[in-house]
Amino acid sequence: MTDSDHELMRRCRQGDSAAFDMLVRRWEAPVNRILVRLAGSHVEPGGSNLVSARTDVDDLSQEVFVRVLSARHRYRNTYAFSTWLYRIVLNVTRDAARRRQARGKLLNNHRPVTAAETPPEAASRQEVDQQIAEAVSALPGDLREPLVLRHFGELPFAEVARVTGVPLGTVKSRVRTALLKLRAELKNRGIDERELEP
Amino acid sequence: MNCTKVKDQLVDLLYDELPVQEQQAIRNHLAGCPSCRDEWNNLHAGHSLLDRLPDDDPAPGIEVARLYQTAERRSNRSRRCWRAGAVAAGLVAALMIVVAGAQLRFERYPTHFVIAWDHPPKPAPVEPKIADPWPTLGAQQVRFQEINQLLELMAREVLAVESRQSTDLQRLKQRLLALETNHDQRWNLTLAEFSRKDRELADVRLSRPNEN
Repeated sequence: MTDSDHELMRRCRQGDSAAFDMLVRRWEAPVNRILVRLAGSHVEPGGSNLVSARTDVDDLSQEVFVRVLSARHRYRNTYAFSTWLYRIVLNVTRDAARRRQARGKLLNNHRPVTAAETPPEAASRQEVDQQIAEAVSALPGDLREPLVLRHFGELPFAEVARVTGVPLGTVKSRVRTALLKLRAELKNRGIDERELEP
Repeated sequence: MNCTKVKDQLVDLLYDELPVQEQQAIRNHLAGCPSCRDEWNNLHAGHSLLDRLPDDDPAPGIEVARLYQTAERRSNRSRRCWRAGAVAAGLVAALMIVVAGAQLRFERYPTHFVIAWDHPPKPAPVEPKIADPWPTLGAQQVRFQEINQLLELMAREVLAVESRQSTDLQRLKQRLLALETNHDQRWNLTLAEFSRKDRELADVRLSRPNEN
């Protein structure tokens, strides 16, 4: 029988490193999935975009679990562990975004479409995925956060509302706006889901 | 169902968070409402595009031991910061006590003991010693002579000013007198003129007794 998150956190507070290890293994992938979409893609000068983004996500993921470890004595099991964890994830990504902005390294991910660009029918799947990822990154933070948590984190709307501290109705409205904006943006870039290969 | 309510619930339908009955009601509405169907298609398209993105799960790679080390290092750093802050606060407090201590007064009397918080009593003022500026008589005489000369100069200056003022006053008086004389003459002339005119008028009246 697998231990619940609450039980693992209780043991972790008592200094059981094996319990913390289990928590990390259980939540590492979901946290990374959210971080990849929340942190957005940004390029390091002179570096590889992909490698840089990967490294950043790994660093952020590590930062999330360090904060979990540091704050384990303040953890209360009032809500689901995931709510507490994703709140930390949001804080870590927001801090990272602020740091990037302070360093002036946050670049505009929106690439204008030019006539010379590859037409969508000929574009490879990877290129289309890259465009979609960029469009998600280009969404404003208050729209991107609920969308990513709902879509990639697969959190119900009510939990997204608890994590973000925003009313439920506002969360739904923001997800709706985000999806519509995303569709419009990708359409502008010449990407239509009906013409894409499945 | 109206369109506003349906549009509000489309994301619930999209993410499968609606009870079956409501799902059916919304689908029925969509079948007959082009505006809501259009929005639904757009939302669904956005959703499908996001679904295309691969699950970018990295291989589990976080070393828990490293997390513990990092957390421990941060905790130590934070503790060091607190300690440094506490030491700084202690120093400030000590400094304040030293400064405040200068104003604390302890006095022991045969019958009681006094601890007072005030400024220490000021020492009695000492009469300043004035050094003799002219230690010798000769120097004093020279100084007196200088003062006498200075006084004479001042007196001469005052007399000269008085003399100038007296002359000016005299001149002003003469001017005033001349003005008064001139004024009297003109007044007399005016009176004489009036008398003459009066007489002429009387003569004219006497020479034309029957004209009225």
